[in-house]
Amino acid sequence: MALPNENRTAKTDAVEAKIKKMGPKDLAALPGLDADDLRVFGTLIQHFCFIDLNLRRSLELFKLSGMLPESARKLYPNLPDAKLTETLVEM
Amino acid sequence: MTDPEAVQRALTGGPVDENIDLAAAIGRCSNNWAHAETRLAILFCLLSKTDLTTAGIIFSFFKATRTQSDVLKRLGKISPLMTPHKIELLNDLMKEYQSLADERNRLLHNPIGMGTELYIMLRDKLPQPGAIPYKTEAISIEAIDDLSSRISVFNLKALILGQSISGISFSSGAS
Repeated sequence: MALPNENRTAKTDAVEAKIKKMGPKDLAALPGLDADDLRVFGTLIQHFCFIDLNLRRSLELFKLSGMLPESARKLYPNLPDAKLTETLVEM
Repeated sequence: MTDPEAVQRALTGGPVDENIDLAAAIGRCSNNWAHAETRLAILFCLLSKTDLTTAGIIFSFFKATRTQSDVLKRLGKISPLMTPHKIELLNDLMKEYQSLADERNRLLHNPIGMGTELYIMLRDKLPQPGAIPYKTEAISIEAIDDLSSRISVFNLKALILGQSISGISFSSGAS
């Protein structure tokens, strides 16, 4: 699955602005990531993996219903990741 | 009629929702890998004789592991900063990078489920029409942590090689 678009918020913009003003010493002094941060990363990654799994499931259902567009039928069942979302959006 | 249990299943991210150690292990591995890519961008910066910002932008366009590795090896061959020994170290490092990337991609691009044991669902290279194109394989938090540790060792080697090429010692940061 392709990477999602960046989700910018006022909070991330503020953090980025603050980091840009910091020198190397300040940056090096920032605390490392803790278990809670890593847990959020891991959870987010797995949610995306499940989104991909469910999109693949949808594709199979559309195929069984004979609803796949011609362009996707030619590639089925080896539809590349980039083409998967494109196909489902098209439907 | 909608099956509420099916909806509930679809809304979860698998065992990571309950197993915080598993989630943290996946997050740690992903984070260590980000450091590996940064280390390679630094090597690219040194070998291409560009500033770090420019190097970072150019290197970010090399998405495939193979391309990243090929570019660095080619630059290593022509860089006046390199000796035959350093070229050998770089080539070995790139072999290790490719191998770690394969393992990392398997872990971070596939859903993990829980039966009696944890398992990972790997995309089938030859999917059968009408079947969900995944097969399962056992996985454990220990195996994920082992991969994270090997990525950390790789990062250290890349740091040492970078220092050896530049002649400048710099902090290893948080990786």
